[in-house]
Amino acid sequence: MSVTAPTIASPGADSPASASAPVVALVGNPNCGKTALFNALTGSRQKVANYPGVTVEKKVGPLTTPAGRTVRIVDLPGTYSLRARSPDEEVTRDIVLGRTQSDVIPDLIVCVADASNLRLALRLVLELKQVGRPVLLSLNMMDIARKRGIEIDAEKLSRELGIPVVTSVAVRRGGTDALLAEIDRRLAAAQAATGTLWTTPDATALRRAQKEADRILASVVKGQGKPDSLTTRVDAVLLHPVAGLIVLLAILFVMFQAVFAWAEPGMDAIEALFHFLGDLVERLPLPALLTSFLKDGLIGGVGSVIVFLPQIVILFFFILLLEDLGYMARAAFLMDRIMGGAGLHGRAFIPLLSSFACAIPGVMATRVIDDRRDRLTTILVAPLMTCSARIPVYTLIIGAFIPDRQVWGLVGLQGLVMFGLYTVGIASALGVSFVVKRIIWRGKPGEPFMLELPDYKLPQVKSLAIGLWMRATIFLKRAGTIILSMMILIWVLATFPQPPEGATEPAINYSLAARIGTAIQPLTEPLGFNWQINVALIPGMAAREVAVGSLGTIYAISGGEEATDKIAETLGSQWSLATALAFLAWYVYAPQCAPTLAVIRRETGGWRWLWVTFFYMVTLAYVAAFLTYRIAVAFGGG
Amino acid sequence: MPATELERRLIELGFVEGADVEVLHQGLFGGDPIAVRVAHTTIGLRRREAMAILVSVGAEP
Repeated sequence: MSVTAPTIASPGADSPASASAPVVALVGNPNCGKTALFNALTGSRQKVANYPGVTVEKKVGPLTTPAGRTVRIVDLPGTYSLRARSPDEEVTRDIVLGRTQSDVIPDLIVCVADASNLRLALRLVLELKQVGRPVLLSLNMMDIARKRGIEIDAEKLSRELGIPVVTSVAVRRGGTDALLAEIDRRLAAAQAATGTLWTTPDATALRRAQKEADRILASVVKGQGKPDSLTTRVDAVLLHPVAGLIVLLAILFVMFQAVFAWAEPGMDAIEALFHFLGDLVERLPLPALLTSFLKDGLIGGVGSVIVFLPQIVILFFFILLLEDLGYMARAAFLMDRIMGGAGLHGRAFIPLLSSFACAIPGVMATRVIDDRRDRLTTILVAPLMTCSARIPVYTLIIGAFIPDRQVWGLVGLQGLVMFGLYTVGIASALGVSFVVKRIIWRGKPGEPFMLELPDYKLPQVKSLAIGLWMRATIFLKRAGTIILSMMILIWVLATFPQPPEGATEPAINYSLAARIGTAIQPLTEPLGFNWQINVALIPGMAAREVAVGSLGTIYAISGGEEATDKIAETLGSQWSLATALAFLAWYVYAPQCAPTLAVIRRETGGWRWLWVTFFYMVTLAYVAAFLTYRIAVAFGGG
Repeated sequence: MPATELERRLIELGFVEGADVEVLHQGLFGGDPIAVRVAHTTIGLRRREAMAILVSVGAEP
């Protein structure tokens, strides 16, 4: 067997010093606390491609061991076996077996096991031993196991398995010392990988291995007789057929309520900061054109997007919290039958919930769905979930056009419209998946739903904080790159060419933006869109929320300086209600997000599903906006 | 899904001969899916697949 020479990582992909550092791969069952361990080992220095949701892709982070050795730790998606039944498990299998083309070939495999739930992990260990690479077992969450009266004879377990066994508590200071010392010892021994003896196990081999694991378990573990009493008591309510569903709905309600209510102080503060910056620039003795660029283009544009950081952080906070608590699997369990009615798999619940934050992690999270058809259906409808990038657009339009009054003295009308837009998105997703299941994949039997419901765990503050930090960084990077460049583009389009001497109309009417907007006017005329909207839609393709900043820039330049902070008021006076509603309807469906389309292409391995998604969404958007406009006009909203 | 694949998946989740099982919870519609404790692990699965598991009642040692 030839060994592939490690390819030199492209600059920036990895720090140069670590490109040749030994690789330690973390492998384990889902929910074994692997990611918390990874976070404890690498801190916030990890490099993550895109949004990590549940781990569906490998994550690499540097670590310096007590002996001063630089090591790359790789966190891999959880799995029960190397057989790889779903795309996320294939990532694990390929890296463990060294099949990948990248330089991430493990020198050491650390099998991470939840000490209070060892049974399935031991079978995985037996499988990993056949791979022909050094393996060690880390009994994670030992503190919880001890508290539950579970005693494990680690020395005996090590003898039985023939590999080193250490214990770890990811969350406690010093809790990973034993693991680090053992990693050092193993790497110093520098065992070369031998040829793999692993072959895809059949049922007989699996059965034999599980029985062997059960025998070892019985000989080394004491006190594993009784289940976790807290989990049992909590599940009596949370998995109750009626109460469980009510609680799930309540959790979702609180989550969305929090996104709007809790975020307000933070959003006000950010808004005030950018306002202050804008004023500051205005007072500087700069040429008018430069002032306009800095104030309208840069500060106004980027600020209008960054202001949504609090909402995005809160949404991800809930998703990560529910995941860490062990509730997400229960939510999938509760929703399986209900979503099954619409042709979706129970496991689709987690990706779809993530899609409320952003469709990108949502589409990536579909890797946990093993059946290709179920997975494609979920990918297809994920962009219909109201992502956080739509929130700015909805907030702006609703604030400008929907009166702030109470309905039946209970709920605000604005909140109700917002809720309605979310509902339309969800209903459309269910409708589309129903149609796909009945028409495209007619007659194909449904795939099984099998999912471990892990014991509840207290979320770890540090792990949660790192998770949130990663998401916030990704969002801000996006604001600093894609969104920033789009805002500059819009400013340039809206400013040049400059109006001729003695021009009477507002300056923007002479600009390139006005020409482009007017050129596509015939297409969007039936939807009640004006040329300003058309212009805003173009950069909105790169990132939906840019539309808000674009409208701000366009109207600021056309309506004078004072209009910048009053986008809503300006829109209120320039658009009809019917136009505003049609614009909202368009935004529920429009595939206005190039990054999402790119991720769909990557995840489905081709252009086909990208185009399917694009065309069905444009069609729905056009039809919805058209109908909304016509109906609103008919009711006097024109 | 072929029967052999279903068998392998059930074994990977711990359903092997001799393991203790207990049905803990049932869904609202048609009592589906069900949550089953097998040895020390709780697994959620649909009745359709659970039908492949042969159980004898009262075999407590």
